[in-house]
Amino acid sequence: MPRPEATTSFDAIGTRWAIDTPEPLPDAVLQAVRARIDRFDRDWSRFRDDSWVAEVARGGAGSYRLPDDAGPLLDAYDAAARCTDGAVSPLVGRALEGLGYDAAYTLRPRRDDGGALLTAPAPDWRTAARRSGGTLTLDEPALLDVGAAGKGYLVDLVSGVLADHGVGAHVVDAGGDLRVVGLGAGAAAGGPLTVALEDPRDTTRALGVLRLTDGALCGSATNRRAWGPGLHHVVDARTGAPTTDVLATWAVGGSALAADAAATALFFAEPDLVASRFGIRYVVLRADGSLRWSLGLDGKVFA
Amino acid sequence: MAHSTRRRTLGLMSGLSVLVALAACGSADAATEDDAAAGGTQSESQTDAGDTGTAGAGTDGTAGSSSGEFADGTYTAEGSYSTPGGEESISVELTVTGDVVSDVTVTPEASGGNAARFQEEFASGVADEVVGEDLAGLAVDKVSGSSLTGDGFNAALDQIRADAAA
Repeated sequence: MPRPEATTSFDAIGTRWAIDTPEPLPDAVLQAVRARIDRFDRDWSRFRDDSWVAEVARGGAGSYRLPDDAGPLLDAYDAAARCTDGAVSPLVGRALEGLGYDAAYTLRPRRDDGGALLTAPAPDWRTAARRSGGTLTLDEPALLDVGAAGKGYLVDLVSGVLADHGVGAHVVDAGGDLRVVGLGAGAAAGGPLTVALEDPRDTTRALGVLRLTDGALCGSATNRRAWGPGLHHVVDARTGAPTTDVLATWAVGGSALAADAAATALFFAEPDLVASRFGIRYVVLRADGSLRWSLGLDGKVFA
Repeated sequence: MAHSTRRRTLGLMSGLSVLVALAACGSADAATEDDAAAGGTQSESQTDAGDTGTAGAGTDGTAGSSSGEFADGTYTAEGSYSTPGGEESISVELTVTGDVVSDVTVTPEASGGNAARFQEEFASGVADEVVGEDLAGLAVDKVSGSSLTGDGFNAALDQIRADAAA
């Protein structure tokens, strides 16, 4: 792909999107992309009261017909829950609300009289919810939050919309979660996309640079979507509290869904276990400043 | 100083041993006097790499300094372990700068088959106290970190800061 490519940017689902294509994106294709994102938001957002997720939250325990695209997304949550002993769960919505990350962006956590965070475990995805065909059954009331894998999945879905419209080579970037298609055909195609891994402790610095020709890179870190000391969006479902051992993770895989789910799982599990479950390669920055990375990554880690 | 360096190294090496144990259902361990992980064998580069019956002297011994401190340089050790497919080996390379381990690299040397595939998939590097490089000096297409946040979130955060300052 010749560079600089044509870039189409817009804001959606609370983040900045950029779609790079060899030619400017036709309006009809952009409209199809925006429509797909809107449909996903109407189904899966916990930040709007007309979504499917909001309907489930109001309904409490019971059975619900799943959105048509739910299968792969919830499969990824199943895999993430298994390899993290339940730490990753799509049932953490109430826990995030309790921390202040609610639909109104209150950003004020519930605390006890002594000022300590009031947290509670989220329902266990492996036991409190069951899927059968297109139906989800919840044994107890729950607010779904698909923040751990939903954005990656949506990046894949948008990439699919582009492919369906004949846009072969492209880069879909949703706030740093990337899906790259068709940059592998040599210099004529522009060569690999190079991506710096931002150091969450100092965002003017990079921990490494990775190259992508086909596939996905997703990252997760606790420095953004953070609203106070120890208050951020990566929550351990087993406690309902933000996690502290790991500062940032990146996963490279074939799909953004796998990479995004794995990036969250890497906060809670042995990296090689996550790598085997999701078929990804990784970089993990721990809170003690140590770094661990797969040697099979295409790129360089500055360690 | 020597002591803290050595402990840091042990931490790194035991991390590596976990990788290999997971990867190939065998075990290779940087055996040391206070690292009790059982079942592995590790031989230093100076010794016969195929001597699988003997636990090595540990990474601090590899440095070879009589004071127990590391001399600057790069150290290599071979580790081997048994798999159903036969004996397999890895190479571990440590870089020491200013008495601190600045880099660890594990290189698979599997002869083929599943072991080679597993080693390639799971070999990993470990480094402590990573510093990184200045982003401004890098020519890259993209930056990946935590998701950039939308205007609504940022506005709410600004409001909280304003309230806190009031």
